[in-house]
Amino acid sequence: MLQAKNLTKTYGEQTALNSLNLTINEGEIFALLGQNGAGKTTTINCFLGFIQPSGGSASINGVSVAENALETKKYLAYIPETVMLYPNLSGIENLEFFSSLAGFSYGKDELSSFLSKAGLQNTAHNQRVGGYSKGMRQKVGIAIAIAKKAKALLLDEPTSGLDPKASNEFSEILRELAQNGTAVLMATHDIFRAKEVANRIGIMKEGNLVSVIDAKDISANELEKLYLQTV
Amino acid sequence: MKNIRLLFKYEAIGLVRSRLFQVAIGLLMLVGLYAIYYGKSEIDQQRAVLKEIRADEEKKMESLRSKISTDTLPNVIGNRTFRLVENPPSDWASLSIGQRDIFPYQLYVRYYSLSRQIMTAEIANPEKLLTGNFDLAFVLIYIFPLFIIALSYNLISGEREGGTLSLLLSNPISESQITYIKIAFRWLLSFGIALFLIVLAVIICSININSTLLWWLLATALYFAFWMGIVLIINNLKRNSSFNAFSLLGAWIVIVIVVPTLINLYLASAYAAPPRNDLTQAIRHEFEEIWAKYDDKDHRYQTAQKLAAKYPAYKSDTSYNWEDKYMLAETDFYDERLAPLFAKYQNLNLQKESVGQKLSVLSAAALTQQVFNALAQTDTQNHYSFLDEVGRFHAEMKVFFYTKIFQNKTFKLTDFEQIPKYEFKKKPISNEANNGILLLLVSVIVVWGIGLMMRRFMADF
Amino acid sequence: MKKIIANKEYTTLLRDKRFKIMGGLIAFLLLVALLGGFASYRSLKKERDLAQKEARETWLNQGEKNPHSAAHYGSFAFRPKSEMSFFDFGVDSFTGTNVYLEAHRQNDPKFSAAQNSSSLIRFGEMTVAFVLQLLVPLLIVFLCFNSISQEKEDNTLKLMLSQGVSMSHIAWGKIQGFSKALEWIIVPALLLTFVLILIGTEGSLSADLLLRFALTLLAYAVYFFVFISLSVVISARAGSSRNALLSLLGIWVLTCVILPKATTNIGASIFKAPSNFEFREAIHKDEENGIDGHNPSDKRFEALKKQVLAQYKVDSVEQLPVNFDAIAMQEGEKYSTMVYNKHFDRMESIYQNQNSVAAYSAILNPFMAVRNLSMGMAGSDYKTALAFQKYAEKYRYEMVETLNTHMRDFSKTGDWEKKADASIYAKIPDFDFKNPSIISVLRQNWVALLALFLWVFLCIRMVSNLKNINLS
Repeated sequence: MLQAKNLTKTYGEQTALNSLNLTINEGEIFALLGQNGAGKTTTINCFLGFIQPSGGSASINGVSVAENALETKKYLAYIPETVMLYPNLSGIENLEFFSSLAGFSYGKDELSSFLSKAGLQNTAHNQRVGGYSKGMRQKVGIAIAIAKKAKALLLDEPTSGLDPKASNEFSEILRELAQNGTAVLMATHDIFRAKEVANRIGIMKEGNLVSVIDAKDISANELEKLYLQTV
Repeated sequence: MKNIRLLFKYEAIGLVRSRLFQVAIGLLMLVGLYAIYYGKSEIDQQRAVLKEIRADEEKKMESLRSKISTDTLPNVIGNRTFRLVENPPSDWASLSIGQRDIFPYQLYVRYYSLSRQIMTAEIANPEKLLTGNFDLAFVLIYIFPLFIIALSYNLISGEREGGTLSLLLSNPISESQITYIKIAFRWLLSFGIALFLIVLAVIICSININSTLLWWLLATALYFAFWMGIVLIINNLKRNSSFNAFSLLGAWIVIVIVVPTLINLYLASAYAAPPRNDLTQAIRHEFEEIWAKYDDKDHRYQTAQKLAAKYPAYKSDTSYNWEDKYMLAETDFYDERLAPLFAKYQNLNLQKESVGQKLSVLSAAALTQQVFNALAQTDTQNHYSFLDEVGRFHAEMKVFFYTKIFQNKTFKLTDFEQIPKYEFKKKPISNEANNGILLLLVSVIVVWGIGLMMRRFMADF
Repeated sequence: MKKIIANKEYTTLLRDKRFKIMGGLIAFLLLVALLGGFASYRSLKKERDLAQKEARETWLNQGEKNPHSAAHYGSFAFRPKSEMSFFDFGVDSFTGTNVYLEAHRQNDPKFSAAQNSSSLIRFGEMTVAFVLQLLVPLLIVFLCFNSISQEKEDNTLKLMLSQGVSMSHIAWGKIQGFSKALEWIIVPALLLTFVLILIGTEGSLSADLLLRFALTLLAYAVYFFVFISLSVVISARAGSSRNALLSLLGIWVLTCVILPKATTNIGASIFKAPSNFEFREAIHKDEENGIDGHNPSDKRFEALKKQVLAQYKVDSVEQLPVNFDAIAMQEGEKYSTMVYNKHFDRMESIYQNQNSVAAYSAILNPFMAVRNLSMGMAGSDYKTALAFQKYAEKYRYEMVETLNTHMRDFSKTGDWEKKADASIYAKIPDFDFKNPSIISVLRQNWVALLALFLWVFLCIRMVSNLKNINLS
């Protein structure tokens, strides 16, 4: 469970986050929409512990991120906007490395199954990541998140630059993860994808979470209209 | 910790597969091997020269022995006795040739005036002296830091620019941990290669293994630790890889190249080597005076008195062989008059060297070079110890022959065996090595102190 | 078109913090090196001029003596400092400065500065040449490594090309711009150098010296051009700015740090030079045994006696109108000098061979080319030191010959006491060594000159080839 209580972050005169209140429960997918600079990435960084809040708190499963950074990292998985990975290592080796870092010790077969689950074709598993396409790298990033068996998943613009097919495959995986009890926070520009996969959608403007809507209560076109009105 | 093993493993895999690393380590090995070969050949040449001269000494002494008959005068033998006083290179000299190419390392000593023998120089190609020696010390001091920089300039910035840093940090590991583990890995790798080269040199140059090896390795380890500290400091600035690359190289330029030359510039002006005109004029002038007063009877009488006062054991028997005895007495006083001048210049140089060593604390490279030279016994002080040995042995020879000459003895075959022969005795390693290593340790602590302090006060990632 | 680009580069560079900091540092080091070098040059020059004057005075005023005593007393020769040597110390610190000129012995120059310096001198000496040869190329690399690669990465390169500018125009423009900016750092130092030369020579600048200075400027200008154009070309061809930087730094380390040492040492390994002991032993042997091994010392003495007696048609040396001892000594001097010169020349040619390995490497290494030319022009190279040594030996020989000849004519055989008039000392001219002419320097360093020409052509070629570059 992801929870932000009056989460605030200021940089001098500028307010990046203004008293954000947000709770994402297990099995829930929450899409965060907003312009560049609205505060989406800042929110995610607070949950990741990459930024110290100026006020309020961010917590994962009731554990405050700011006070227990290393511990909370055990519960979360993160997929950054551009997944680069180590070009000289293969897909499996990258996965093995990151999952070992997370404390897991998987055999080659298990690792392969994670990659396949994420949609990466078998032939690519042992090839160097330096030769992967963006979509393929994204899938390794997803596999890393899956392998971590995390309670919370944080995504920053996950579908940017993906073709429609890969984007669709990605939505499938997200839904599966949510079904298994993971809380998902996804920052995105992709209004269509947000409506399609999320349970709830939030729109941020200038550090404030302006509106929160249930996805089933709104159509994609209406969502777009609301978005343009809000920001 | 398991994170350490994990990161080490993947750092190693990534490095081994990267082109830059393959090229860098290949070059490093090549350069290291050449340096070992070069150092060995230079020092072997010096040993060969000493061997040649020893053989020549044997030959000369053998032919001299054959000249001894029933009534041979000791001065006849003395005048033809050449004894080699040598300063052979130590085991480790192949690794740090130091000043051995600038200073002479042997002298044929006769019992005659020391002042007229001691100003010797080894002939050398000045261009070769100018460019210096490509020995293992050069590789360790100049090249290894470049290797470290090539490996470390994108320590964290590479991860950041490559996008993997955030992935890493989304795991239970902190940036500090990652930084220190990576630094430790690079230090171990560099030191490992250096260790390999040093051990290889020990084997190839047949160096006796004793505590000097440990000191050498310690100095190398500290020097590399110093550079890792610099890496830490630059890394803490959180700038991009290009900035890191040229900051680190800038640090290299300053520490390895600019600071030592600036120290030398300061020493050259503040402790300018005075012209030795007083010495060279005195050597010539005093000697001419001796010949000028050769026929002065009063002067001769006074000389005899002076000699008797100084050396009661030498009877100033002016009735027998007085011509030769007179000249020997004169040259003894001549040496006595000139000794302070020689000492003056020797002390000036030693003082300059000592000031230089103190100032070297400003450059870890200069410190390390000094330590290597001290351990290899190829530093300036070693040369002056050699000159002291020359003086000491010359005194021995002088006493031997002077006693026989002044006591009117004939030279017998049994006396021949008694002619002093110089036996080189190895000296213990000078304090400069310890001092240098201590100062290196201080540099490491300072640099790491700054690095660690910076991290304490650093902002968020 | 090029001018527009050049101006943009020039103005951007001047505002760039990197340029201000590093350029400022280099300018500061140049100043320190120049003033330090000049101060040291002045004091050394004063010392040596004074010492030479004193030696001359002592020689002229040594009083009435037997000429052979005067030959033994001898004199001193001090190596003068070349007018431009404060700019580039060359090998000056590693060569002896003081030669004792006496009969029967050829002495090596003694008391090199290196033997009387701190061992830190082995790290290099802070001279203008040092900064210009070693540090300025690094500055150039730092400023120019991303000149084109950054434009590529920022996508401004494609913008420029789509405006109708060609790639080589862009490159030439940048080269011009960088050169102009670099002038701010280099030119003041060079102007100051010229002023100091004027001060040092007290305004009397010979044509030779002027030419040397001009050629030095040219050599360095070419050297910087090579590095600037190389940096721009590699920046254009490297995959990324980072690769460009690493490649250029690798080139700098190789050409300025590793190759000079390696080639000089390899030269010494290939052409082995004898030690001092072997050198003197070989001379000694030849002196004793006669050059072709059949004519030992005393046989020559006998032959000479016979020849002179026959020449003057007398039966014994006492009957000679001249001093036979002087004739014998002169013959001995002539012979020993010939032997010494033979071995010295042989030794010297080995050293030249050793140095030639490094000299030829100039074809691959512009640093070597400019180092040798700079030393040669400044009169602080090995060949100038050699010229001094040969001049000193010739002077010594002529000094002894003059005295021996005088002794031959003015006293009889067996007379070692007769004192000559003090005026004979003036017969020996002043010791006045002048540097070889610039023509001979250029001739000796033809490889370096050729190398610089080749490098210029290569760079021009590489820059114009950029128009065919693949930018995808």
